[in-house]
Amino acid sequence: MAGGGAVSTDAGQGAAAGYVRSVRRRLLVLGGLALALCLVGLGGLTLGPLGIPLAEVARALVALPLGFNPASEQAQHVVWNIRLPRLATAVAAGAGLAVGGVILQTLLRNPMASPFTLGIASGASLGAALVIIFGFTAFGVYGIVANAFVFALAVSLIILMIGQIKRATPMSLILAGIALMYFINATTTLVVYFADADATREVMFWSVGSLSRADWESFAFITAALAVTLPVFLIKSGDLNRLLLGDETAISLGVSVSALRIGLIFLVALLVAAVVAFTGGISFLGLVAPHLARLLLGADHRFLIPATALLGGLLLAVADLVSLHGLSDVVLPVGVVTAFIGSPLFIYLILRRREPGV
Amino acid sequence: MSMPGIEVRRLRYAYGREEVLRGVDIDVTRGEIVALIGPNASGKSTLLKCVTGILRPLRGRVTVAGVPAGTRGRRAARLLSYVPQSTEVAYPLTVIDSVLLGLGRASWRVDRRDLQRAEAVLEHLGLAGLAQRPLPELSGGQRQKAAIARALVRDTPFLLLDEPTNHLDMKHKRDAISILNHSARVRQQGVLVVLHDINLAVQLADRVVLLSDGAVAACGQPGEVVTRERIRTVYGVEPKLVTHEGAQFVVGYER
Ligand SMILES: Nc1ncnc2c1ncn2[C@@H]1O[C@H](COP(=O)(O)OP(=O)(O)OP(=O)(O)O)[C@@H](O)[C@H]1O
Ligand SMILES: [Mg+2]
Repeated sequence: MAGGGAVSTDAGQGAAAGYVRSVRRRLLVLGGLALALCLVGLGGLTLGPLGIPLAEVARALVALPLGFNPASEQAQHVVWNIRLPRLATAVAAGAGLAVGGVILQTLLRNPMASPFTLGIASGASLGAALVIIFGFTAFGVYGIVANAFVFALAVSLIILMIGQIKRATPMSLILAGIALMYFINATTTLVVYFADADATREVMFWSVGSLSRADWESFAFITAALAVTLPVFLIKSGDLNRLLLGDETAISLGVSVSALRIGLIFLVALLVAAVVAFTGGISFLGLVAPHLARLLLGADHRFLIPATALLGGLLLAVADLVSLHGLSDVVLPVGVVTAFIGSPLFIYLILRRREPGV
Repeated sequence: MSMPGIEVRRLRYAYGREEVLRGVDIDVTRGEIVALIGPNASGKSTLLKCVTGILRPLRGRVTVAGVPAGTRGRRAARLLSYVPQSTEVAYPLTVIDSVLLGLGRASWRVDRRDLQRAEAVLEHLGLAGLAQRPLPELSGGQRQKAAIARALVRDTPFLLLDEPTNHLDMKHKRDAISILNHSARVRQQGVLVVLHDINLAVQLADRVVLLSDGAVAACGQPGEVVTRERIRTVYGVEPKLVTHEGAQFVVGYER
């Protein structure tokens, strides 16, 4: 809250004027994040074995939609068929995981909540592992994706069912989710234990997370999930804000708290399942991005949700670029990079700011 | 004008097997202040939550302006405002953002009228300088006043407050008294307020309800309710009482 002090000494201008200014400032932060995302995206498209200058990237980008001739067929191909689908998937997946995290953190009123601490992502990994190891290859990668999806949703349904049990508090939901996560991870380990080396490697992909399968299809799938869920989250941002004041206050303000909690957790599961089904368990993003966004512009969901989406997209895009180009001849799984960047960042955030104990 | 008030009839509530309210009757009409007093764990907060619709009564009937408590939706929510006993918040909402949340419409667009109302309430409570401060960074008393501001900005027919003064110092207590008086006398709100400070209740309220072990032990004019015998039997202490301007005040305890 950089402007907080300045505003309060401006008492002559009143609280209303201060509010208007704070809205403007938050919109500015959102604009800045969007700009940063565009710049990182453009820059990222120039990187790779075939160096493509920025101008040519730009030309290739506008050439296809507008129908004029790009400078080189090759640049056109590399940008549209290789780099852009991967980048776009990274941004969409990052946004999806981060938004899933921020919604869960609010619904469960717990800064530890994320798609991973609740076992939703682990469920997806288990679903994928089962298909890989028992070799239902009839539908190719779709079988894996579909099963990951089914398992992620199943885990969320179990958590929701626990939530339906009389007077289950947000805290008991979290604890149940963590217990579920350990159970699922153990199951995955057990399944992998009896698998051959190839399958084990494949399963690793799902538990660590990678964008190596990203293409336009995965982008479309994740974007569709975002298109279904994000507007609902945004429409409900007022009620999500009221939830921050406590269940009791929220109820007294007319929020149907349990319906909101169940409905939105279901949508989060949908979103996370869609992302994890294609990218595996990219950890930490869902935990870190919301906290970072809150530091930038506070807890008001009208601004926090878009900011978290942008930050999540930005962080995963950067992490993916690092994983691709960080080491000259090895491509790291992006999940490893997000964890390596994410955990020190998170610890720094914890030390820097006293998170209110919930 | 004559909107029906808050009517609580033979209200029973239990957490699990433990019965906390055992047949409570209370009325609050618009324009009056009713103070709810009683020892710890006598069921005061539970009673307020039943009226607010946070808890569903086990038995009995609770209506607010004729609408059964617990009716969902914004219309029913516009009948009363509630200030809970604890005002912890999870994440750094600013004071003015949180006050605007009291206004039903202020979900996406905040119009000029909303802002002016919020500003007026913040100034009324002396919080204008803190408008942009995140709630978790406030002191307990400041946060309590922010919660009161969020309730006042709604301007509902009824106002329920659970120990709104327990973090406030003398001056702010006095301010709270005048604010609640303003609510009842000028805005014609029906105020039901839980207080631990019996003297404050005597000063402030038109009527006092003394709750003891989940039942109404006494109810009426402050002078009728606050007596030596009642305090002795309900609270288990022997009070030193003085009479001032026709009312009795507790100034200490024997032994
Ligand atoms: N969520 C809960 N679960 C189980 N029991 C509860 C719960 N809330 C309150 N109780 C019990 O109900 C009884 C009444 O509690 P309540 O909060 O209504 O008391 P109170 O009169 O407001 O007390 P205080 O003056 O301490 O605030 C207490 O015995 C308490 O232990
Ligand atoms: Mg209480």
